[in-house]
Amino acid sequence: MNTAVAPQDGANGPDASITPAAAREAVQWFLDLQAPGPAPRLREDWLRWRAASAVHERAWQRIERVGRTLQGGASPFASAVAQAKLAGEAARGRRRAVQALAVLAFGAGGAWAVHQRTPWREAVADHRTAVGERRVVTLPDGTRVELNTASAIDVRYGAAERRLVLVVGEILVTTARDARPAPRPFLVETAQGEVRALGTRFTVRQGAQDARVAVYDGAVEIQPRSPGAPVLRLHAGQQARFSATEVSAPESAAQADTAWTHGALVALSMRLDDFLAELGRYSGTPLACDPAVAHLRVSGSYPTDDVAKALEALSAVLGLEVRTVTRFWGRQAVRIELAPRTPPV
Amino acid sequence: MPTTDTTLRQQCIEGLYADHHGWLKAWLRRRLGDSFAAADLAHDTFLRLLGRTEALAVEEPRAFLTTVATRVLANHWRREQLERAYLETLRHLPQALAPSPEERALLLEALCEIDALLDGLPVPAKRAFLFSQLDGLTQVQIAERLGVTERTVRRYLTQAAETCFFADVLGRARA
Repeated sequence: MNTAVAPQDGANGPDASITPAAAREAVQWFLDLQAPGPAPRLREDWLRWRAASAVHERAWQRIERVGRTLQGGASPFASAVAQAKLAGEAARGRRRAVQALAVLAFGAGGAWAVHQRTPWREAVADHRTAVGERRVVTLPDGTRVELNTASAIDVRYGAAERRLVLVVGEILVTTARDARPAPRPFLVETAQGEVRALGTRFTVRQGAQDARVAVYDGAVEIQPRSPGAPVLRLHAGQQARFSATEVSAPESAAQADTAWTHGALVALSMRLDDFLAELGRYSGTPLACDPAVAHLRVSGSYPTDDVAKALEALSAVLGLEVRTVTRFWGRQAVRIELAPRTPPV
Repeated sequence: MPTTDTTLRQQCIEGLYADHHGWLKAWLRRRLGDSFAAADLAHDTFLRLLGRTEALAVEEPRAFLTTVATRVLANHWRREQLERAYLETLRHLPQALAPSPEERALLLEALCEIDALLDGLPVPAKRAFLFSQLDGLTQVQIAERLGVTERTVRRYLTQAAETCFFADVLGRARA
C-alpha cells in the first residue's frame, strides 16, 4: 500500500505506511524529549507534530511500542549485563565489565532513581524539575505546588475532581478552596495510591518502594491502590508512609522536613549515610561515605543549592575529607565520598 | 515460488526435514563444535519454519536452510554471551541484590530482544543507547562517560534509535 494514506488506517497494520521522513523526525523528537527538563514549548510542538499527520502518529506509536521492550531492560543491573556483553564484543575482556559495574554500584540511587519509571513519562510531564532545581507552580484554582529536586507532576483538573499525578520526586501542596458551587475534591496520585486533601498544606514524596505523606495544616486521607486496603486519616503534625496495600502507623512530622522549600536540608542527629542519601537527591554525582564513618551523627542546616559547599561544611564539622572517586572511568567523577582524613605520609 | 498455503507448507517442511535435516545438523556442528547443541539448533530451525508465515524458498533448499539457521545461530550466541555477561555481573553483586530465577529469565529475554534490535550497530553507538535507555543518562552525561562530544553522542543515539525503531522503514540492515 502507498505511503501517503488517509488518516483512518488501523486495519492495515500500523507499520505499513511509515515514511522514512516521519521515522527520522520521530527519532529526533524522541531524543529531544529525553533531554532533562524539556521546555513546555517543545512538548507542545511535539504534540502538534503528532497531530499534524497520521503518518507522524504511526511513527510515534512505533517508538512507544518498541520502547516497551526497552523498558523491560531498564535497570542498572540489566544495563551492566548488556554493557558487559558489549565488552565481550569489543574483545576487551574483564576491565570493561567492571566499568559497567561501576554504573551499577554507584549509579544506583542517583540518576537511576530519577529515571526509574519510563523516561519519557517524566520528560513530557506538565511540570518538572531537574536535579538540584526547585520550582513553585500556581494552579488555576490558586493551589500552590512546590516541586523539590528531580520531581515531575501532571495536572489533571476535571469537572469532578482536581487531581495531581506525582510522577517522581517530592512536592509541597498548599491547597486553595475550590471556587466552584460544588467544590471538587483535591487528590494527589502516586504509584502506591491516592492522597485526598481535606483543606490543607502537606508534602508527598514518591519513593522507590513507598510514598511518604506529611501534613502541616488540616488533614488528608490516604487510600492505598489495592482494593480493600484500609484508608488512614492523617492530621496536622503527622506523617506516614504507604505502599499499595497498607499505611504505616502515623509518626510526628518535623517542620524541618519542609526546609527544602528554602533550599536547605535540616538534620537533627541524622546518621551520616542517611544524610548523604538525602543530600544526594540534589547532586548530579552520587554521594557516599566510608563505612567506618557512616554512623557519625549530623546536625545542622546545609544548603541544597550548592552541594559542594554543603559537603565542605560537613567534612569540616566532622573532621573528614572529601574525595572525588574517578576510578574506572577516569574522566568523570563516579561519586564523591566522605572518608577519615588520611594522615600525611 | 514462495508458498504460504498451510498444507503445502507442511509438506514442504516435511520434505526439507527428510532430505536435509542430517546435512543441517552437520553444518551446525561444524560451527558449534558440539553435536548436542547442533541437534538442538537444527530442531529450533525447523520449529522456526513451522511457526512462521515467512515464505519458503524450496528451489535452493540448502541455501534457504542456511539463511534461517544463521539467524537461529545468531540468537543462540547472543543468548550465550548474555548469560555469560549475566553471571559475570552477578559475581560482583551483593547477594541481597541478586535477581530471582524468574527475574533472570525475564531480564535475559528483554536483553536478548534489545540486543537483536541493536544488531549491526557499532559498539559505541550501542553503548550510548544503552546508557540513555537503560540507565537514563542524559546526552551530556553519556558524552562525559564515553569521552566524546555531545554532537557525537547525538549522532550515535540517532543512529541507534533509527535502527532500533525503524530498521525496516529506513532500510537498515540487521545481521
